[in-house]
Amino acid sequence: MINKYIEESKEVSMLNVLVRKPFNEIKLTLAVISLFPMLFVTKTIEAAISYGILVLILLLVTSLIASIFKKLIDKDIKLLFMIITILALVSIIKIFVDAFIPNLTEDFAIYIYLLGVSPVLFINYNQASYKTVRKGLTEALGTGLGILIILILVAFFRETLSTGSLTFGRYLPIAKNAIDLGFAKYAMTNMKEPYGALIIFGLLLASFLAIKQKGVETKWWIY
Amino acid sequence: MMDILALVFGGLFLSNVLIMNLVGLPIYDEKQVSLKPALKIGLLTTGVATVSAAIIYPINKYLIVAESMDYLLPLYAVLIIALVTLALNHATRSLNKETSETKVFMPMISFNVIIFFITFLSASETSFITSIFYAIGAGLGYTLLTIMIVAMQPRLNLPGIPKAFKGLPITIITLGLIGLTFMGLAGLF
Repeated sequence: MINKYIEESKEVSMLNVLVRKPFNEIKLTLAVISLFPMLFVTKTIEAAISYGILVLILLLVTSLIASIFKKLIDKDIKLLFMIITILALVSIIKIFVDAFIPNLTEDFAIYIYLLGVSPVLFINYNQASYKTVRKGLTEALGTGLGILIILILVAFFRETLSTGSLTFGRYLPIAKNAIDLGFAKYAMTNMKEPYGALIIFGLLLASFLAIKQKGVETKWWIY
Repeated sequence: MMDILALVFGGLFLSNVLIMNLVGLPIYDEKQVSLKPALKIGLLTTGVATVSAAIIYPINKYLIVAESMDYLLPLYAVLIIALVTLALNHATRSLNKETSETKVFMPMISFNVIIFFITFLSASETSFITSIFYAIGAGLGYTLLTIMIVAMQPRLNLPGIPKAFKGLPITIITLGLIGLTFMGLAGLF
């Protein structure tokens, strides 16, 4: 039965910034569900960039594996192979993050593991398994960049509103510095909490819909 | 006793997984909005999470942590959750208690991020009892929020809300505001 759900998502393209495809409710709902746990890491722009890059790498590697092994893997064991591949890749990525970005593991270890059950990776894998290596990689790159842009946008508003400045140097190998935007006095510290991400994401989604749909009402699809 | 009560209370309100960890957003369309199926899904999720937590805790403590094989925990967790879901599915079928909701939502439960998250966090609790009660509290918190979302859906569809906000955006913003309200309960325990 799970196979059925994954098969149905074959034609769903999510968040792809490189390929322009018709906009629909299924696409947007799936994208929102996939993004939901990722929003937790948007406390700072730097964390969002680091995490977004991890997602991008995972998308690229999974789609590469899916398109290389598409003829070797039988349809009956495809789901099992998909689950094990994605979880193994997430574990490998976690080991690399432990070694090279230890602060990211310290703050968001469980959210790196959560990528192993993220719908975005499963759908990307499934899409890539019907495509050539080049097309699969392009699709993954587009989706990964889309996620990265959204995470950066949410993180920018969240960090700016909650602290009034942008800080760098905790996760990525760059010198520690802070850009003061000049309104630290009026900072809304509540936005630092996870529910701040929800409010900002909801407002961004509404603005996106207002621009994209020009007033057409959306019905949400159950997932 | 107070510790356990605080764990369940925390799971319900203060550290509600849906609001404080942003995991497992339930989305329903207008046809699916009714309280009974939502309650059933929530309780099924709580049941699967609790049983999975009870199995994962000893495996994590005596095998994974003892042998320093932390990287295997996600794989174990997913396999155990899938097995528990299959067992529950089989049990409901053999007891003739299978409903349309269990039929539809069982595959989704097996890959629900929230169960994975609860199982994962309960594995790192200090004792077996606290891990079980953490899973129960977090599951009930998820159920509470699911019911709240379903109950508020008709009100969120009333005229007066701008078109761009209708549906998911207003639900997400309302969830954020619920989180803000729950924070008011901080310091109760």
